Amino acid sequence: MESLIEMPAVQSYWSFGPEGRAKIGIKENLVRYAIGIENVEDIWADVEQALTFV
Amino acid sequence: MQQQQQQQQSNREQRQPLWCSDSAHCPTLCLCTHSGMEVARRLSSHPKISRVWYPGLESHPDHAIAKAQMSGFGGVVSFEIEGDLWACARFIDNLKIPYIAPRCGPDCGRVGKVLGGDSGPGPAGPARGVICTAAWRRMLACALPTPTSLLSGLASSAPPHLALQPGWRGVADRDARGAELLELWA
Repeated sequence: MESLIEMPAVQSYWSFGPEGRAKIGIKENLVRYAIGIENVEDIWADVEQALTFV
Repeated sequence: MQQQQQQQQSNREQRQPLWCSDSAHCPTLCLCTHSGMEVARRLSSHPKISRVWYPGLESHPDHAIAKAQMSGFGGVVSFEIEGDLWACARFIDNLKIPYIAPRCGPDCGRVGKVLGGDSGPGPAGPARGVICTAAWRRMLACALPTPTSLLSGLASSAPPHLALQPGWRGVADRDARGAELLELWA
């Protein structure tokens, strides 16, 4: 239900090592956002403000 | 092969649309899939996003097959931030809505790490019941009734690098990569 976010390189594929991750295309700057039932405008506003910190 | 394709085609025609065309079937999925498409579209034209992976977008390598098989494309959007791992971490740290967590089972709650670095656990942290240690910051988004069921969920399905706090030995003891990660983040 709620939105979840993760960095697959760190949270799911760390054990593959840098080469293993490169082989399957998991980059270190990859984000996986599982969008939940929150209002889409709220979600987008949140994403936009967070992108200003990049 | 041809027969199989015909069968698939026939299945597709008979199948009730699951998502947006009839939200009464599952309003939740409908909402997620609508939001997923919308966010994916907007991200793909954002200057700080280098790539968006979403099967509903034509840029996705498997878009054609997804389109043929699905009536909606779900709520999971993957994308690459313009920058390195730390730029990505800053982005995630500054989000306020989503929990930072991979799923680790249907009912075991969610465990993730708060990518802290110098910036601390991030604004989304404490308000959500984040449990932090100085060196090893973690978030437990406890959607669960009892700590015991959370623990058992973790022990059985948390990825091995998700070592918990020192007291949580069941998982921590088998975590060979914890130290490696810790070093990276120190």
